[in-house]
Amino acid sequence: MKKSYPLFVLLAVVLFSVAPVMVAQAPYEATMGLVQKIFYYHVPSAMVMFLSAFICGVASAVYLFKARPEADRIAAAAAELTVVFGLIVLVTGPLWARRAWGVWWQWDARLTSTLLMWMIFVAYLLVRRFGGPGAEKLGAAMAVFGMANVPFVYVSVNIWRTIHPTTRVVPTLSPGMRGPFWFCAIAFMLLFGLLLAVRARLEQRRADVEHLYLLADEE
Amino acid sequence: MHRVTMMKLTTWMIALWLVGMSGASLVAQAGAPGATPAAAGQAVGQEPQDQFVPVKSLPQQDQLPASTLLITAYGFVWAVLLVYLWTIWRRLVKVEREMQELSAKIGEKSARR
Amino acid sequence: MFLKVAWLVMRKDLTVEVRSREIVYTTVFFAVACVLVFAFALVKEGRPLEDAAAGIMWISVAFAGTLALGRTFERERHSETLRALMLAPVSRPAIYVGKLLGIVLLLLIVEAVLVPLVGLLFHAPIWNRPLLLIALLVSGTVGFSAVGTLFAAMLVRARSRDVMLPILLYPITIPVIIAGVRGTAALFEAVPAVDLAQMWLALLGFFDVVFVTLSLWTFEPLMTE
Repeated sequence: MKKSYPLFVLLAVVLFSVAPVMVAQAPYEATMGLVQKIFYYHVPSAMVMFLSAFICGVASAVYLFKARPEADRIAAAAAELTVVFGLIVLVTGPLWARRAWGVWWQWDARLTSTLLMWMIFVAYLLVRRFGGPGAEKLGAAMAVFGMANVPFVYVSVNIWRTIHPTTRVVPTLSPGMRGPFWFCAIAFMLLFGLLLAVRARLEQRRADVEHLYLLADEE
Repeated sequence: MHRVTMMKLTTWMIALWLVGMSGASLVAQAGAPGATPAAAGQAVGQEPQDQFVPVKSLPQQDQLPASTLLITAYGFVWAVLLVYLWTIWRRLVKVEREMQELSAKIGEKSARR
Repeated sequence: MFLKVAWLVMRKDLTVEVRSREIVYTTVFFAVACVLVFAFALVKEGRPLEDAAAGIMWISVAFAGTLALGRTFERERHSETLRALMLAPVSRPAIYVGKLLGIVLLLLIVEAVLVPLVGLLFHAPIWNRPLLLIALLVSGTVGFSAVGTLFAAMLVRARSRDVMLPILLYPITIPVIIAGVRGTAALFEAVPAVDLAQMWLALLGFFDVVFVTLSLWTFEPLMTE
């Protein structure tokens, strides 16, 4: 483990401990009330999900065209994180929606496209696990298409009339909400960076073990 | 040569799309001036929110039922992250153990020689 | 040169298919069976659900297409002709385009059978705006087939390839199917919503460009060992 890991872990823990306090102090939203506070974890998770999908796509493209194994390891780590944070988004969203819109789910453009993008990365994990030899390249192709999805998902809420709020909400947050929101966003980003590094390192150790197996068999 | 072909193809594609999109939008606008993609989405009778409007405190009846949802949401986030961290930890431990076993085995073999 | 190679590959597939007609007949029959199954499943007071016409048609095309893709490439794998194709000193994307055109043609034949059938069973007004309907069908088919051909070619050498193809294909192509269904449904209404259909057609065009470009771009590195 790198020397700086413990410091960042501590920082992440501190941020996440303070976050609920900040969220509790934030003003209530006029129409949605208390349940709107899910926003402070829902949107940063979505931001991380998009970032992770993007990183996975770029790393996969690098792996496909330059055949660099480190790129493949980062892609595998980023795909798993996309699924994890996507799961958070897809569960906290409906919990909020139940109160704000009266329904758990609605097949509008944003929700549908997010679910599909999440499924692309779930399929990535499935194909890596069960695809047999050469599955890394199959997954990489999936990730490239998944990455192409990201701008589409983001913009879907502006192009179509959806029940999901538009992207104008975040830039126009009031000062009382801005603080906790960006605090949580930074906390999530930091956590994401850490998880990505750790998970990629796990992949690296696995590759090292494979290498050792080959050496052990040789002798 | 193949790279040049790819770039040419991509440029053709983009050009075709631009032409197609402008054509389609011109036709669409000529057809019905008021047409928007609105009807294509779900007509729920609600405008999507553009802004979050803050207030200082809530009317009493809105507070209790929402708190279950809020706590479940936050709890879920924490649970997922902790479970995920635990799975990484478990896999890392397993891999480190395999590493050690293999290193020991290789060490033995080369010592024997 | 590029187009010539694509044309040659497509002609090869056509020639093989014309001799046996195996894939065409079985795919068309499967698609028809699909439509009938859905129609019977959604019967209300002795009549099928008329609003479901567009959805049922596109779903059947998607299912039939997935099967046809699997079987076309299975044929290549069986005769080991895929390796011969890859060894040929021609541009790989041209091979991809040739295969894509073959699949698109096959699915268009299936649609040519399904559209009148759907018009018959669901009383759908298929003659409302025939050109627009054809445009929707063609662009939707191209989008679906573009991704399908790429993945089917990739999966030829993979394990559990039959179940992998739908797993990989559907999350990516469902937006194309959605756009196709919504556009076709707009045309099948009593008073066709033409501007709406055109909007969906534009979106389909966008998907086509993105998917074909991405597929062309990734085909070569994916097919190399």
